[in-house]
Amino acid sequence: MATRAGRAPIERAALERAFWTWMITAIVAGGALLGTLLAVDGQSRTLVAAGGGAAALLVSLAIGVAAYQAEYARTYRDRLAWVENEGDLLEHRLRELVDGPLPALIERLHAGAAPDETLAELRAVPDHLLGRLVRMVAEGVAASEHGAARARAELAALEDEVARLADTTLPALIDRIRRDRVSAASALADLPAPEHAALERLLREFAGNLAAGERTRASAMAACASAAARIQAQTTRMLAQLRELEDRYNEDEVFGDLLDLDHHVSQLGRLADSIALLSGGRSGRRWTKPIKLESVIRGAMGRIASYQRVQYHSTSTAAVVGFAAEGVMHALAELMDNAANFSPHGSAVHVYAEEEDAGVVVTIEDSGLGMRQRERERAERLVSETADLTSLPGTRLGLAVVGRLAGKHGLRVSFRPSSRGGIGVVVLIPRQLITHSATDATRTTLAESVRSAPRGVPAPAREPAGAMASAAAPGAPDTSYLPKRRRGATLTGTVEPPAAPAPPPRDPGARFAAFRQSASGRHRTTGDTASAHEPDQ
Amino acid sequence: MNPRPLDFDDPDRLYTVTGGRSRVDDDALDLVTLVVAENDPAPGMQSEHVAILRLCRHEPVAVVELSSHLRLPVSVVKILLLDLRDTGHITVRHPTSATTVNHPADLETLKQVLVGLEAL
Repeated sequence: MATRAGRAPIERAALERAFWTWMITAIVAGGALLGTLLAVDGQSRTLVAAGGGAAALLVSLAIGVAAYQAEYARTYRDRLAWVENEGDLLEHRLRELVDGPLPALIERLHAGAAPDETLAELRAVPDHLLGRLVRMVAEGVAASEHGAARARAELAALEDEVARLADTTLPALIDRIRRDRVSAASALADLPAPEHAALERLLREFAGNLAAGERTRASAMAACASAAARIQAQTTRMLAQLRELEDRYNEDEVFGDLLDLDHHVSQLGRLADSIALLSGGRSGRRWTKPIKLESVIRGAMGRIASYQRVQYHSTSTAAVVGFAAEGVMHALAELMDNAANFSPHGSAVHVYAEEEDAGVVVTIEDSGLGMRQRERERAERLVSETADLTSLPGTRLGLAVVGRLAGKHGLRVSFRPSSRGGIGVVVLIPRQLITHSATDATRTTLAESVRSAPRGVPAPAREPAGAMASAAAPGAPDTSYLPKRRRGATLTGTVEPPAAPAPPPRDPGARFAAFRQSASGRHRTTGDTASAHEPDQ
Repeated sequence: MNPRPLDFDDPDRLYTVTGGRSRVDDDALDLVTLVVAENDPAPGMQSEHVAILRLCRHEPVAVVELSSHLRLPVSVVKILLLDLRDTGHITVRHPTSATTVNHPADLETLKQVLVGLEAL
């Protein structure tokens, strides 16, 4: 624009100069023509005047035009030089700006500085346009930087929120719902709600589903446990009745069948116990007195299918305290059953019991194929954790049951290769579950057994051999009456009189009387004999 | 869970006591057969065997009385006794002296004995 505006003055100046040049030339030429006219004669004067005048006019015009052109060209050259100079200057400034303060400026803006401060610090840009340009750039950069910073902050807040949800809120929620059994709503009320709406929805949904799953699980387990408890009650009752029948018909043909039936019901009882345990229930029976190790082992044997293959070797007179006896028995039964099932059909399963410092070690050895390393590790894992029905490894319950019982009573179960070729399972019954005060079953009255074994408290240990000897000595205080109770009565819920009317001690003559009675009973029928040998009935 | 009734029994089932046997095919024992221990119980014996040997250590004891002491059915006691007899731990005999007193058939025998003695 400046160029176009400057054109008119340039042209005017050129014209001015051209005019003066022409004027001077015209005067000079006019003078020369006058001189020439004075010099020549009159005749040719007209001719010369005409010719000379025309020539002078032409020359002066030509010179004027040339002068105009020369001036015009000179002016434009000057102008061009100035423009070039200006352009160089601008480029130089621009380069200075781009190479120097502009990157620093942008960097400062990225770092979060306010655009006004930054521009104030920047050396004043002389050029107005460049200054505006720099300001616009600075403001743009600052605006985008501000937006990016806000987005970053929001993202970080969201990440924090998600992390808090995953690390703190969810575990606490799961804990509250699983362990404290509170409802989803009250569990959520106790926990800080996430600010993000979507996260809150997520948490609510999760809590609802978890609580529903937990309720389903709990009710399924409760149903299982309650069903198992009924089966347990029935089997215990059946076992008591069977024992009664066995006592009554012990010399009849049916005795063997009764024993068979007893065996089957015992196995059924073990199955019910297993289901009850895994579903959070309890063992089917509770013993009120310490149970001799031999009885514990035999009680365990009696609950497995091939009990006749089990051979028990021990001289230990220790007993297992009453509250743990059932659990130990059950665990041993499961392990013996495994041993019998995973060894050749006719082979024996050997059970050894030894007393150690740490307690009693029961070893169950079979001569089966043994276990590979992985199987053994899996078995060890199973018996060392307390699984429930929801985390069962498969259809085989045995080891999971052992794990449950081991956890409950502090038994230590380990597996090792057996010298017989199969697997040796070593069960350590800890010392606090062992006592030596087991009263001999054959010499104990009902009342004594109740008194001597308060539930859950191991009776004071006595010298084992002495206890045994004194208990079994033939001349010992007479307790040879039969402490009869109605076997079914244990299950009716009616309180069985535990220490109920203590029988009068028998006088020495009583034994002879019994002898006489049985002697004369030789000629009676079997039924009479039975009633003779059970005088209380 | 329902509270369980307390068990005052022993957990042994009879088939584990007898090792699965339920019948005796030996007529050597009846209810009044007297049992005498021949030696003391050895370590590692079944507890019922030990109890029987202790009960019969000083005097003969009848099968039925053992049954009462052990709180086991007579047939089970018989199985246990036969085990002990077969291993030589006990001897058994019939209480003939105790039963002859009231027995009419024995009077006849006595008379015959008397006659025999007189004929000497």
